[in-house]
Amino acid sequence: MSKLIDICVQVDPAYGSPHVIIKTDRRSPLIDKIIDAIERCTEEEDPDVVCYSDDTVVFLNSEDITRIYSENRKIMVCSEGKTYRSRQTLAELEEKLDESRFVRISRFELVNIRMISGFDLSMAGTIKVSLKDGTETWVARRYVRTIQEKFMSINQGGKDHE
Amino acid sequence: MSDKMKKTILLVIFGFIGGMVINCMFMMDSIAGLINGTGDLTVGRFIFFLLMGGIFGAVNCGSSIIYDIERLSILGATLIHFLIVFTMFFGFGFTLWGFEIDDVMVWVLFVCMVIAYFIIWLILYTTYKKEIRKLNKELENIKKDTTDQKGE
Repeated sequence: MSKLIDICVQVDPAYGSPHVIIKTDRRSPLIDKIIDAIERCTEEEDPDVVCYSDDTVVFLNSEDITRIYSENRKIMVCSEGKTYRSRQTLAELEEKLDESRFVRISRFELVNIRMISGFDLSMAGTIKVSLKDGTETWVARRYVRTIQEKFMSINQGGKDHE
Repeated sequence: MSDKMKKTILLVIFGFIGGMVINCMFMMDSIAGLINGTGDLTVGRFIFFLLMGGIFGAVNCGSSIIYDIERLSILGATLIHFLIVFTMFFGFGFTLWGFEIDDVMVWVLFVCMVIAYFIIWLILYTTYKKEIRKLNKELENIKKDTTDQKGE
């Protein structure tokens, strides 16, 4: 075993899912690599989204995610009233998440279809989308047709299933 | 080169050629006079007016790329395009084409331009309104399906 890392596994029935604590004197690239490796293993096992709140890693159920957007070159994930950061790009998240559940509304944002209350067009001609948690955001005009086609294919898929 | 840049260049070229063609149509009589050797249009002035028409068309068409800027609302894009064309048209008019502020025709042209841009905004607004209505209808169907599935 490498002298750089001591690995200790404690089996405790009290833990329903693995609880990883990394003890170190300082954050280093090695620690980041260990975290990445654990995330990769987790993503293979479970398609939930890995996010961060300060230094805490949070696994979000995609069903609970309201929207994912890019802000100041960071990817932010909103879920149940809280906002987290993600290390993945918007394109990677879009590919990973269920395409029948999430829709791209602009270059910088994905929204959970089940969380959408409705769309509205202002007099100035901007397209607003209201979400069930009270958030309002904006749809890019060029994505309107794409969103329509996605909705129609979801509805068509539902009818085919019947 | 980005897609937007390529589109802008194509619009400018198309507008330039279109502007020259439309200018020629307005100058048919003068061109006929030039060919026959009558009238006061010289070759130099003809080329000048042709180029002016081309530049006007290029700016008019090229600036329509403003509608592709997502940050701008339809109203914002329409207002900016109107200002660009208005400035160019009346700039040329008062400096080169002999427009005068107390000329009724100048005011008629101004009102026509305002009405034309209002119609552009109205067409775009009603088109997107219709699209949004369709979106909301499809969304209702999705929600209905989801509720039915949960009920099962």
